[in-house]
Amino acid sequence: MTKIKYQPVIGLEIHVELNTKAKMFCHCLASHFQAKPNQNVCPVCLGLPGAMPYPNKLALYKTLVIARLLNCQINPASSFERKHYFYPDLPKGYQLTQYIKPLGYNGYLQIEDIKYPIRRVHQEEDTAKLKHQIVNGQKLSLVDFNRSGVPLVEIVTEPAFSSARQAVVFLKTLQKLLRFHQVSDCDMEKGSMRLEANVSVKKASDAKLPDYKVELKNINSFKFTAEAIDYEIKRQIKLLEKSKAIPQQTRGYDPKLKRTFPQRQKEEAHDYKYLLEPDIPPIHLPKSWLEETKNLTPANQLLQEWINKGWPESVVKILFTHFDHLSWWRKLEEQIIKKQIDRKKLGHFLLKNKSRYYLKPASQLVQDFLAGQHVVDDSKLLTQTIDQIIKDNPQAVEDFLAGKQQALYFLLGRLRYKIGNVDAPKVIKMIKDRLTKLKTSSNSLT
Amino acid sequence: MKIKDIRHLTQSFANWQKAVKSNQFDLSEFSRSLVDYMHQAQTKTQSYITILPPAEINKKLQAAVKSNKPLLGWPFSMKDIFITKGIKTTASSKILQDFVPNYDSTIHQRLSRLGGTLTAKTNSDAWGFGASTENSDFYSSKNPYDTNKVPGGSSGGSAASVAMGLSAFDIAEDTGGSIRQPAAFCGLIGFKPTYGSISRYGAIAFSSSLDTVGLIGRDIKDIVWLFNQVKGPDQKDATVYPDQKPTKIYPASRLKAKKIGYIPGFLDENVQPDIISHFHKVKDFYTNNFNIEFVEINMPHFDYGLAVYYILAPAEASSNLARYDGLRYGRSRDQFGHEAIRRILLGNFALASGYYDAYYLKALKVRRLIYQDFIQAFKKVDALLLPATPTTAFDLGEKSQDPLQMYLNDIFTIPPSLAGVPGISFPTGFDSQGLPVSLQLVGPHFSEGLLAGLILAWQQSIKPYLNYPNLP
Repeated sequence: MTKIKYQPVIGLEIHVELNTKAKMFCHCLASHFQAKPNQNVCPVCLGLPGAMPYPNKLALYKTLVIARLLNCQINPASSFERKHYFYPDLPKGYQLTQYIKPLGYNGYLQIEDIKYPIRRVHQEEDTAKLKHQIVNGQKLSLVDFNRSGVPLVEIVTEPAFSSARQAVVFLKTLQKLLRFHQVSDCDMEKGSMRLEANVSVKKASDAKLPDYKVELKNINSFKFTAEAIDYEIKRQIKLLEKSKAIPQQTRGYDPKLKRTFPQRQKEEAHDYKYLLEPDIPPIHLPKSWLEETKNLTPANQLLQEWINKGWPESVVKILFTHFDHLSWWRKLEEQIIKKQIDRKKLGHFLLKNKSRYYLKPASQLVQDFLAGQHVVDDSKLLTQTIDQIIKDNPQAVEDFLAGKQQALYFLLGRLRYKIGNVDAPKVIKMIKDRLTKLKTSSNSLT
Repeated sequence: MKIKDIRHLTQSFANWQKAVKSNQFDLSEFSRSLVDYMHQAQTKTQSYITILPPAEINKKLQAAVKSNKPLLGWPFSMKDIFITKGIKTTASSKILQDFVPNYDSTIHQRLSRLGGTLTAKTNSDAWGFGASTENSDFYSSKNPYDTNKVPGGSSGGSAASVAMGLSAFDIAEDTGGSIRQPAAFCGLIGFKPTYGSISRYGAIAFSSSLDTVGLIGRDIKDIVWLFNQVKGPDQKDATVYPDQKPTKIYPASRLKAKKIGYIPGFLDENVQPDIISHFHKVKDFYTNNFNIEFVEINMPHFDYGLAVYYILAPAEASSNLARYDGLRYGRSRDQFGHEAIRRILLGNFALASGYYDAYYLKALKVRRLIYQDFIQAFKKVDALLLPATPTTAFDLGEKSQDPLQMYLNDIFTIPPSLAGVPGISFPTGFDSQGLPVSLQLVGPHFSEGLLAGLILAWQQSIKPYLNYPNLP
């Protein structure tokens, strides 16, 4: 008997919080990470009687940017709907979302040669956050409304992935893309990027999609997402091999046990009783927005553009991951053209000093680079700085004394960080001499 | 102070202004008397949920007069669905009976800044669900012209207070007739402007696509003046029209040879004969004085207004009431009254999957057709003259056991609401029982100036603003 071949079918739902200053429908601050509970709240995001939503235009613009980056068709006229369900983190009894007309639909994200299809990109609002705590010996569920009403974008893919690896490559590319265009911080630790994977398995010979799906929820890293998907595929295949039906389910992932576990059985279909939000007039995207966002280039295409400009490919590939804001690169380009800088040399300089310029303005990089063209050769300054560095880095000194030559390069790096470009062989020798002297003096003491 | 003197001051802003400017009366004495009369009235008409203390009223009055604010402290009341900072706001519901908001509705904020003095929050049907105030979770209000009759609803307490001369005007809200019908039952002007004129922020929502903030008052000139002060864009309500010009009342010269439409089918046996005879009286007045031509207008979908309304309004209401889930505001859901439960169930039914297309979606489509009926009509005529209500004020308890009969009372006020066009009910006299009779003028979006011009001309001929009931 030949063994049946199975094929995983994976679809992704990604929620990202936009990095706007204000919330989606009120003027409260949207930032909620580590904020004191219930500080950024008002009648609107608390859902108090008589309060009304007033849409944040910048959030809509950023959602349009996301839809464009994912090559979506755009609904220039869209609307908000109320999605009703009861939960303590939902003060109005409904969530505002775009159900009938998502801002973007039928898009794709191209990674190398594969175009991963995107079903929809729509704007919605985040819910409040529940904290289950013991207060004075009592088990309580507390509600923090700081997150209530933070602009959220939901990106839904078609079930187009057939492995965890593929899914994670997609997610990482998406994260980079959104960070690069400064629409979302996509920080999973802070909850500004949340992942859900819908996993099912079918016989490879079946053309039809399976009639069930298992939703993997509340997974907060790429690594765990991959592990959870892999586990789930194996689990489902095992069940299918035993001819068992797989129930429609929501499952969580336990990273310690490295396995998924059931969270809740999905009711047939929840009736959300969608209602056109009467408090928000139809959204008509301004023509100027549609024009401006027409030719947004996804990051992977930008990479090629930058290579064409004369950046060394190997260098720029690494740098793009590190300096992940498009506007930073644009400013850098301005300076490069203005000051006629060699991109190749600058690229290597930046590569060496990556961490030093992280989150620093591009202009500072250029200034230092130009200054660094002059090698610092003031022997008094060099001697002083070397002494300081030796004093500040006892571990490296110890390492060197224990025979680790690598420590010299670490100390050279610290020196460069302090005073800029130096003649490396010469300075290495100086450090070595200084340390050897130290060794002999300490020896003589014992 | 005597009630006669209070009434003189609340009757028109001109009277108030003159008296204030020439120090003809003592403000603190006025505040005390006004509150006394309100409490006296309350025992008979139960028009109020909250009557503010005289000291507080006096303080606001003095401040407004001292700083010469536009309204000079002119005392007004508000339907208790408007959020008032620091003042209990209940929507006449038990669910919110202890709710003291720490924020303000835009309309209250604007009136306060203009120097108006809030004196009371008035009783209505809970959440605005009704046409008689009998659905208030606390008590029914009575018509001051006859306390066996309803004052209308949902803004019944509002109309009664203005009718007695205890509020200069009242800020109320009209979803399907909640301003026009009680104003009609109490012999006042019920001003429902174009949907989206005045900010709804802080008006506890009933049916958001229909809810329209408006006024109940005596004198159309004052109403339009106030309307101009409070309307216009608000960064808290996205449905307010951004570019609104000041409303100017059409002078008599501009009324000449206008065309007014009427719907012939409605002058039949379902409408009380007094109202039909008043219709002809007013029609003749306009024809004789302004050479206005009356034209028969066919509105094929007008008849469906009520059916559409009782799908859409409960659908939105069920959603708007979802927030009173028992977790907040200190009252559990078993405190909802019968009518609220009825509408929550109706609304959920209409929105449920499987019924959505047949009810909610269908109703939206018919609403569009009704809207188009109005647009088409206003290509032929400048305004429509309609009854405001099929009857004058009915008996307390007469319809409260039969919701459908109650709903029918809004048959003339609902279609303009569905189209979002302005409708103003105005008094035309009294019926054989001595109860106020009213008609309604309806015009295209933003035609309040024309409608007000027509009403001003009529008002000058019969001076209905001089009429008062015997109460308090």
